[in-house]
Amino acid sequence: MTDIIFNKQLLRNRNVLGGGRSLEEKFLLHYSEMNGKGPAAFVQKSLTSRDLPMLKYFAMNNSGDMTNALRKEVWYTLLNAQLPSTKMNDADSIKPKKHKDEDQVVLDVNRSFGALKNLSQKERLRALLQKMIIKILRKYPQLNYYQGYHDVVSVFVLVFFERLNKNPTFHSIKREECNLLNETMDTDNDVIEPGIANAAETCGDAIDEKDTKFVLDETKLFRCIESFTLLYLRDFMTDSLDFAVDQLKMIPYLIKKMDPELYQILHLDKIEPFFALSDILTIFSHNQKPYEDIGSTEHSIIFFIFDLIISTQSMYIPLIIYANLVVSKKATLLMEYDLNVANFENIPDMVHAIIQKVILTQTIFDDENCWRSLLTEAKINNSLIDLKHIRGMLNPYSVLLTTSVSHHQLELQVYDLPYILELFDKEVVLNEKCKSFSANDRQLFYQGGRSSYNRIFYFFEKHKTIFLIYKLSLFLLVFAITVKILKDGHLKKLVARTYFQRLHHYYGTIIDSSSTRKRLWVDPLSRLFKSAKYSHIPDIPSSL
Amino acid sequence: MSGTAAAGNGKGYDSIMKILLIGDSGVGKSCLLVRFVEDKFNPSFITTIGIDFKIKTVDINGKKVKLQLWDTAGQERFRTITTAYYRGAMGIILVYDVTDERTFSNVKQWFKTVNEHANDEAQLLLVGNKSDMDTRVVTYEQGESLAKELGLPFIESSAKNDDNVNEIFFTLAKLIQEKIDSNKLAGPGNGKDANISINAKDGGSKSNCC
Ligand SMILES: Nc1nc2c(ncn2[C@@H]2O[C@H](COP(=O)(O)OP(=O)(O)O)[C@@H](O)[C@H]2O)c(=O)[nH]1
Ligand SMILES: [Mg+2]
Repeated sequence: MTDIIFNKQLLRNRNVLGGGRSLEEKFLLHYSEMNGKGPAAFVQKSLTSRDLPMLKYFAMNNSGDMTNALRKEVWYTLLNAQLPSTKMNDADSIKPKKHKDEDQVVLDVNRSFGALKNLSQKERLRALLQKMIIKILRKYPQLNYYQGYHDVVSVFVLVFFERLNKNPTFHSIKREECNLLNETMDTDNDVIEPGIANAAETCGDAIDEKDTKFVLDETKLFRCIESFTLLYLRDFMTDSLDFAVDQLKMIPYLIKKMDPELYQILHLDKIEPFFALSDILTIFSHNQKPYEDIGSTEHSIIFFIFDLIISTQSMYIPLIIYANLVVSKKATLLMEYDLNVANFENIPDMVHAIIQKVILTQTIFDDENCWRSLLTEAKINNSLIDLKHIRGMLNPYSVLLTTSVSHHQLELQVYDLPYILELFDKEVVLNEKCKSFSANDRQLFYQGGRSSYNRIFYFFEKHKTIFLIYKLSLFLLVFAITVKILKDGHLKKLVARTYFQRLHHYYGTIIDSSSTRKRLWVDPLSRLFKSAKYSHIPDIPSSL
Repeated sequence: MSGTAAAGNGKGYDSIMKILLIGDSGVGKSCLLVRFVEDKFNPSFITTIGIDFKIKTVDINGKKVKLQLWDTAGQERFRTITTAYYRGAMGIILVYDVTDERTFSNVKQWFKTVNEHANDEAQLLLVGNKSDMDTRVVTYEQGESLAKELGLPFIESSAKNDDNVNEIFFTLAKLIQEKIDSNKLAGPGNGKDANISINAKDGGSKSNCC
């Protein structure tokens, strides 16, 4: 349904898609070469030959045959390649200093994995989750924790944790994978981070082969979270949610393109799309928990969404999925709208409530066909996003314009840490500047950097007080000149006489009709006219 | 202006009340709500991110009242978003945790936020939650005197033991109903800030029925 909207771009992007086709052929060839050995063998081969485009392609087109044991290797390889660890990165690893948000982290970790029935598993998962988040925050104290970040991190924890349990699919590839680990990790993992030594303690179990494995996995897990956080989640981690709100604004923008009628009916031009906040901040992982009980989790849509983000390197994916979701539920939404229109205090409340009801409580994500088509559409739309139209909606350092842009290349985009940290610093500074702005003012501000008209406009927007002072002084100047002229009686010389004749004529009428008002109206002017031919105007008492 | 804007039109209720739960993170807002709406207590109930919405119809003095309950995230950074939902709230429940001094001292800050963003007529209620715990640091008397100082009714509750949870919502609903009956409080659609008017599609089915 949405392909139509992006028609023009679709044509333009044919070439890009064409480029993909050759990779697809290559992919199929490789795949059949492996001759039924399954995705494990395929991924392994790609890992060994470090064929990143092939891995990327595999993750992008994962049709459900990726186990979490494989997934964690694919995620690690892709994320590690996108933000390679540097010596500097490892050297100043963990600051012992407590991060200001750690209390909040503990509160949220204690409310995580709530649906898990296995208590000891739950405790281990929570311990690992808390450790990972706090490690990130201490390593990058400039990041601010937000409620919901723990949901994102828990997705990674689940994928990696599962590997540690008796996972049947794991056994079949275990040995080869061990070799593989040695091959692929020598570049990154020769430096073991200080905190890692204690990892086995967290686990609380006897040290056996499995725990040794755990140590290695935890390092990889941390690298994944680190890379994902810095490349994809930065916008949410300045000390306000302003830039998250900017990202949310993309949703009505997309809905408008897909279905202008729905956009109008839901008043999306007038209301803030806060209803999407938790799904975007947590990439759906808050409302769609990727587990019922651990073990049956591998086919959760959450993992597929993360596969898609990590492989396309695009944070447009969740926004597009959300917009598609709303549009695909149009009929239900309209029905709910009619049912509820009288039940709410105001429109934003109602739209929030019906969208929450339709998107969250209806089990869209349980319907495999439904979410498979959502993912496919997200993939297509993502490759059709045109940044030209989006720039003015976002701050220039946003992940959506820098490190998780929708781009068409098949190669992985690689970024280095200093660049990322600089982007974040700039975002923090900008956030400070925009603190008092509404979302719309912020957009004006972003656009201000783009055209000179807007820049001038923005200058006055931003320096409202200065502008006020200018206005005030100008007014004072005019006032002063007027008074001066009036006092000295030189006004006649400055302004055409006929004008005053007419003016006086008008005042003259007022005087005639209402003698009580005459002083009020005529006083300042009449002295002016005294010497002129209108001497019949009564004189004013000098006391005035 | 009777507050029963949707009354008598076959909706199965007599009036609607918009109620908001606010307070620091972790004080038990969501647990209170879940206890009230679903009569459950899950000690590891999930974090609220942004705003959550629940509905429950109750009987107040023989009238069916539909309670619209808005649960909010406690973390400071969500404040600009959650305050957008104060608009038109008829009742606001301000919750602290009796085992956490900090959440108690933050009540005044929350009170200020309410005054800045909510209708002047909104009925407030102060709740000290987790009264079941023996690690209490805020006494009942302290809670009561703060409530007196701020001019609010006060209840101590436990979502865990189901102590006083229904009382919170019924007390508030009754106070709101009294205000409505004495014509002090506007009903849905008549809130002073309801600045987005219903367009043609709704055919004026709202707010102009009385
Ligand atoms: N003992 C006790 N614990 C509670 C009570 N209410 C909530 N809790 C605990 O406090 C935690 C936070 O509660 P929650 O409702 O999520 O807080 P919110 O952030 O205010 O919504 C929960 O995980 C519960 O374990 C209560 O009445 N008694
Ligand atoms: Mg909550």
